[in-house]
Amino acid sequence: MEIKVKFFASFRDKAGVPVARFCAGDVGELFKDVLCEYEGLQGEILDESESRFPLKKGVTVMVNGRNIRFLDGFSTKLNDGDSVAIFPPVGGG
Amino acid sequence: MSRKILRVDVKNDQIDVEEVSEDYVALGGRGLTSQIVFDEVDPTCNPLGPHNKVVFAPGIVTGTVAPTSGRISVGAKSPLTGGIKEANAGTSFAQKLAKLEIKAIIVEGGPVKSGYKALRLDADGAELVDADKWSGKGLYEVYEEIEEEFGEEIGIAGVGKSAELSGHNSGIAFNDMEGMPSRYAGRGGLGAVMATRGLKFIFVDDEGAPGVEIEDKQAFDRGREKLANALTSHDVTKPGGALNSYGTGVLVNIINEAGGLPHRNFSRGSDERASKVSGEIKAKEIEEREGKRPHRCSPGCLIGCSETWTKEDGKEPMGVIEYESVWALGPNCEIYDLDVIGELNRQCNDLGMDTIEAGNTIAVAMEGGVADFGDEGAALEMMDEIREGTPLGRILVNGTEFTGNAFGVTRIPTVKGQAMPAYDPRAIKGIGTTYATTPMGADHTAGYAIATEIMGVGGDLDPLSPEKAELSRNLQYSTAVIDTTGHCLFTAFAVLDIPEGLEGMVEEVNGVLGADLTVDDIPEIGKSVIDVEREFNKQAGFTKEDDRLPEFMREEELPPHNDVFDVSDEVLDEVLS
Repeated sequence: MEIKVKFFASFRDKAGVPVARFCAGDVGELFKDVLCEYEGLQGEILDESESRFPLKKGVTVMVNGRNIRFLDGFSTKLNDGDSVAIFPPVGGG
Repeated sequence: MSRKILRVDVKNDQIDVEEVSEDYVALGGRGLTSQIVFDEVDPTCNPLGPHNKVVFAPGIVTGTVAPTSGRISVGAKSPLTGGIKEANAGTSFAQKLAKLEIKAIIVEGGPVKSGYKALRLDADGAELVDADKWSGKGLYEVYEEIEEEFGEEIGIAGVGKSAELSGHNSGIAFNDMEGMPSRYAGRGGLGAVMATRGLKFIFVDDEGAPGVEIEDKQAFDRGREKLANALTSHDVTKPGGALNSYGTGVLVNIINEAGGLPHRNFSRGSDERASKVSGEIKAKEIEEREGKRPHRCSPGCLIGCSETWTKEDGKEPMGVIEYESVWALGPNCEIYDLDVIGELNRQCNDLGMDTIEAGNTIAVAMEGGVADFGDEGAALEMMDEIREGTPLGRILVNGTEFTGNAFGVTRIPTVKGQAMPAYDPRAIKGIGTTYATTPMGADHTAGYAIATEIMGVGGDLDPLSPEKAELSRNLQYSTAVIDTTGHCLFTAFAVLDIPEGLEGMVEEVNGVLGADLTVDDIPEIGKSVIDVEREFNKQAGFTKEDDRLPEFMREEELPPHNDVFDVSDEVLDEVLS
């Protein structure tokens, strides 16, 4: 089972790579592994003070193009070949 | 208040200075251009005929030290949509005009087919000077010549070859901080309205200008500080934040990942090749080429989302390539090379054209068989056709819908005749709701639902959910107010999340006007602006059937989410009713 994780904007710089591959059953499990592997991202993604949905404001996580806020959050199941995209707060237009 | 309105009639060589009527005192920017167009322009008139007028108005706080407030609004009846139009740009031109205490310029009369003039404004007055020598030339060369003749510090507004061709895709180009014609009030064909009045340029010199009068300095300073604090602390707008570091192009990847970046004339919402033209790649290239990033479109901007893009060897700077331009001239035409996109953008600037409309035009021309998708050389040749005024060029310069119809294309991504920006409404339905219902025609800036649907600013709503009437309405009203104050729309990222920032914006306005508005007044003020615009459109012949997206977007599924635009007509009708 392989999950493709893509980092964008400042998260790409902090991770030092644009893409990484992990094995995880859900998003929560994946994040534990990602933050362990890339120390530069610690403190950037999770808001430890928020118990219900501990993602920092403005941070976007998509699984196959769908924001996890509108899926099952950190319990969103992952399957082999899934793509997870992680963005810091961005704007424009 | 010592501000005044200039009324300019090139055909009769006349400039009148008028007092600001009581009805206009509390207005500026979009609120003022739309009200003047409503008051003075027959909604049924031919937009390029003698009864249309083009109106320039800096925002209420523009020209002060209010942060990120260098916006100029331009309004008229649009030849592209047939309805009312307001387009705005960030440029020092706006601030210079305001410092001269000019609340608005109304350009009327015509039509004029030759004998172009330039309007010169400075602290001593206004005059019309001959501008025929610049007719037919590219704007990069012309703006250099103008600065050599009139000084590097002047503000310039001008129209290019596209406007001289009466193209319905012709914008108004303002000079950037380097003097290049890269800051655009691009949408809706306002350039052709200006050119057919006989006016080619406006030059503004603010040396010795009195500046903007502030009625209540304490309120203004309090507001300025609150807004500045919000802009410099919000993750999107702060120094080192996303806009400052990567520019608007930072959106390429996130919208592509969300399945909402249109590729191949709105045929699919995602493509791996998009990463080649992302903001991350562009920022890296700019650094390597020693271009400029971050960069400001006008003095006093705290965000600094702009840039100066160059050719590969670091030469021939051309200004900013915005996210919308990257997309329109790139992925939507299946072009994934930033240097080609940069050259197409340069050609648009040089010809005086809106990049969103131009990119969509190239894409529908490709769909109509004029060229293959991805044919970079053919896209550049289309620009040559316009420059040379060939029959094909004269089709292309009239925009997406005109070109699509000319070549038998049925998948034409327009609303009210104006081409869609860089978000497919089948994947992000709130922005589609705005495209459909704004009086401006398809315009993302009219109610930027992307902020909430994709970025989580001002709340979180699922982009695939069709229930977006309230979101679009609230954003359209608040946007009309921001466009009236003269602040950049990007201030919304901060003020939607930080209440003190929004308070600050209102207090700045109170300071300039001596008013006592509150945050609670914002929806009603915004509604009053949009009500005027909708009434103009109604009198021009628009009905609710014009508040709809193209048929193919309601029937053709968009990969990767394979969804259609399923916002009901009833929901669309309740947005602004």
